Amino acid sequence: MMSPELICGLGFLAVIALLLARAPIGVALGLIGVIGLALVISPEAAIIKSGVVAWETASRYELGVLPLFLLMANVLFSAGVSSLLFDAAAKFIGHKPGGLALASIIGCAGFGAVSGSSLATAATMGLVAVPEMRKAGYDPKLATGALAAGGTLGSLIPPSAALIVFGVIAEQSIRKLFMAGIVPALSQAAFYMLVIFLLCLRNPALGPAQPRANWAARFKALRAIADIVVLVLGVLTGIMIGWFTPTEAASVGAIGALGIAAWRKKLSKAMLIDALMKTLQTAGMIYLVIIGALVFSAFVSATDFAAFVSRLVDALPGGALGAVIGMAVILLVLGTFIDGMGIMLLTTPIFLPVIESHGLSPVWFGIFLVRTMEIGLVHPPVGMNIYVIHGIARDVSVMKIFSGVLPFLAADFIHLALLIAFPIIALWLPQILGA
Amino acid sequence: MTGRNPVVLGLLAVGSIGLIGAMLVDGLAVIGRHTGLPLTGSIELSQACVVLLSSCAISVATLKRAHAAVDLLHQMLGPRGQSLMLRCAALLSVLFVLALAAGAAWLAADLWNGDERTELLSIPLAWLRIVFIACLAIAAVGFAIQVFVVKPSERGGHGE
Repeated sequence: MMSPELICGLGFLAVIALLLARAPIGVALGLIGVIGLALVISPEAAIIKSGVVAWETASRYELGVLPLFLLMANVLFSAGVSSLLFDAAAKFIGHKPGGLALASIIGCAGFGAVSGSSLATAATMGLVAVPEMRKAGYDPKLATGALAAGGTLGSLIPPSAALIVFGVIAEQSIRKLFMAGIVPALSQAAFYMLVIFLLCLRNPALGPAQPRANWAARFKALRAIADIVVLVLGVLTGIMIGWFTPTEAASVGAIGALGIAAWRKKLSKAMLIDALMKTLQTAGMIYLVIIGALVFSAFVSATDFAAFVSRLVDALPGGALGAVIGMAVILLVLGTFIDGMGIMLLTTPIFLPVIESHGLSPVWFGIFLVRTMEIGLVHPPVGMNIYVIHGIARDVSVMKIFSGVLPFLAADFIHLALLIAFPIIALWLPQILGA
Repeated sequence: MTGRNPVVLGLLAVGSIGLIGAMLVDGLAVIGRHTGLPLTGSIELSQACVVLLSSCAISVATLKRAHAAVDLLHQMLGPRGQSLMLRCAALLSVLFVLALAAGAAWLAADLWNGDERTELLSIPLAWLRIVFIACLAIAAVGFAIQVFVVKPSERGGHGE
């Protein structure tokens, strides 16, 4: 007779095998969860538990925040927000060496605040910024590397789909997570901009300076994004100061986005149907992933595997710091062959109790986890953002994009180390806002 | 499954009612709260809309083959290997979604005679449970179709 811990360990490996066999992420987690529960408790309990989890997830009011933010993003995307954000940033700093690359990072941060997804940010901003940079004579490695790395900002800048999913499976306040993501996301953007600045300082030919835009052109570009900036800041401020809950904020954001699209005469029946379809498609994908993760989480809880891992981690030298570094290494290794969302859902039920047992903040852990899984988006061999950018710039090889990302990856590791050493980077804003 | 598929269009219509309904209810709730005219039972209404949208969303994502998956090994295989891998993944998906549907149906049957309703507005939850189970059944059928029909675009393409 196998011990529950052994069953869970084998289950963990089975999930990885199913993921590699291209089973949908939610199915891989959920199916192993159901089978594991059937083995550890009983088949009847497994079926009932999976039914309970599925219904509670589908009927969860708080989770409505996700499709509503997706609707806001899809409507704003149809209104052409990505090109406007890049254009405004380029008008202000495009005349500096590497200015368009810097503008693309600002554009990614801005679009991340709308889309909540790293892949969407990389794909959308890449379509806008990569051709512009190539036209301006930028080094292809810098142009593609900046976009692949900049795209990862979308997962941390609120409203972030990854933070919403983490909040649901870890039972943490989404409002707190949103607030905790702001400083790490902005500092990450600053790190990327510093990398571009230093690269172009060393070799200005990497990002030739463009003609300076006059102030009239700058103000015109700013006016073009003013309504979008007001909407996004209004939504985030409203959440932070407690005007509305995250779900209500998402509704206000979606209504505002529809209003902006109508004001700009972009709202049509076809556009609305397209936005609704894309929203339902993405939401459905995430719902299945969450249901699968929660069923898997129930299986992990039933086996006491987290306590087993906790004992192993406690044996590491360095106490809490050693435990966190150990987790970071495991996450980064898993990130070489599993995508970010899969890693987050697979490891949260196991790592979160360990984090709590060391007295560390689950909110900080959420930011740490999302930050680590973002790194997986740009490091080989999976590095989804690399392939997204390669799809846009077909003539730039995947290897060239990977080498273009390397300086940004170095900045990522330094940033992650700082986040581990100084959790206050994430926790400061929630603390001062009394969340 | 194309966008013209009547099942997809029906799911899009119901899901959109849920999505836009949740948006309007929450929007009105915010306005009401800040103007001293609170919308009674707004969370219950919004929750009902969320059930419609989430149920339909799972089915739509399945019929449109939009579920997230890891492509690492899949890309390394030849067309036959890729096709076999996709069929196996679809079969596993059928099993999982059927397990969810069976569990949800079991609970719905247990609670059927209790006439389960929300507290403030007495919205009957049994009917929402039926919508959810029906959508899971549609998703199971969608995955079952994928066991037999692998689209050429899924072979050799890169995943989500």
